Amino acid sequence: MSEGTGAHCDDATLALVAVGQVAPSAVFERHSHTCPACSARRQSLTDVADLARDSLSERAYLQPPATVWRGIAAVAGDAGTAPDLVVELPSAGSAADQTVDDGRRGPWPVIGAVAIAILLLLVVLGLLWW
Amino acid sequence: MAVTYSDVEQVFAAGQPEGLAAAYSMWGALIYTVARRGSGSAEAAADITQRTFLSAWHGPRDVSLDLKARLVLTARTLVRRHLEEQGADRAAQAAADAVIDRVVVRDELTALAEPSRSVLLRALAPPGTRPVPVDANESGGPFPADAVLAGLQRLEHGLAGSRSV
Repeated sequence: MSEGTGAHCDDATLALVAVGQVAPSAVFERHSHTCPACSARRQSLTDVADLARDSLSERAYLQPPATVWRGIAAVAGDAGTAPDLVVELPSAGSAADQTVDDGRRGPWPVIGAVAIAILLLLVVLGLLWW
Repeated sequence: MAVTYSDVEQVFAAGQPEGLAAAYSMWGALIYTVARRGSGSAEAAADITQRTFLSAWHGPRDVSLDLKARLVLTARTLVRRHLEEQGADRAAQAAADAVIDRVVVRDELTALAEPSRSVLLRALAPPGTRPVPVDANESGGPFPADAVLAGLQRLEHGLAGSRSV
């Protein structure tokens, strides 16, 4: 954007500024502070970005005790089946999982399976050698 | 009957028992976490979680409403009521609300579609811990601006829904 054009800051660039990127120009920086609409949008995006950054310290969900579901099922009547249905979760695996554990899945089942496979292989090799 | 993520609201709204179980399976831990972190009490959290799901189940089941947002809003309201009954002051109420906001945003961040999720997680990481930038964009920043914006908009939407439906 250039000085005096009457243009507003675009949301995508404001989003980059909100996550800590430097504004693309001094004009952009000034306008995003002095224009009421752009200033409000910048603040709103910055607030949610700051909240998201703070939220990264949340490592896992807390699991409710089993009595919670039993209480719900008892009152709801015919909803007594245990809530272990197969449900697609909306998040996809990504490189980000390596640094942020959302607590919904973990590497231990895979590590355990590999360890068991190696152990079985060693036992078989040992038996063959013996 | 297996209920998928995209079906759960409709099955719930139809009053099918599988809908309640699926909703609990999907959001029970989120609601319990909101209640536990907000109230500071395991006993109150269990009660709030039960009342939240039963309130949604016995209340109007309008499929046009976002069920997760409605559950979080109910839990947030019940946490406030619990804190009031405990004599909590405004500062304590505000602190509980802030904690709940953080849990809600963390949940939305986890549920973001790719590539917004990965891009936003990288963009939010402290500068010293950021991996090599994944892409360049027209404005010269190291992150794709559209993906960052889409992610932040989704977080804003989820947060607003949890505060009022």
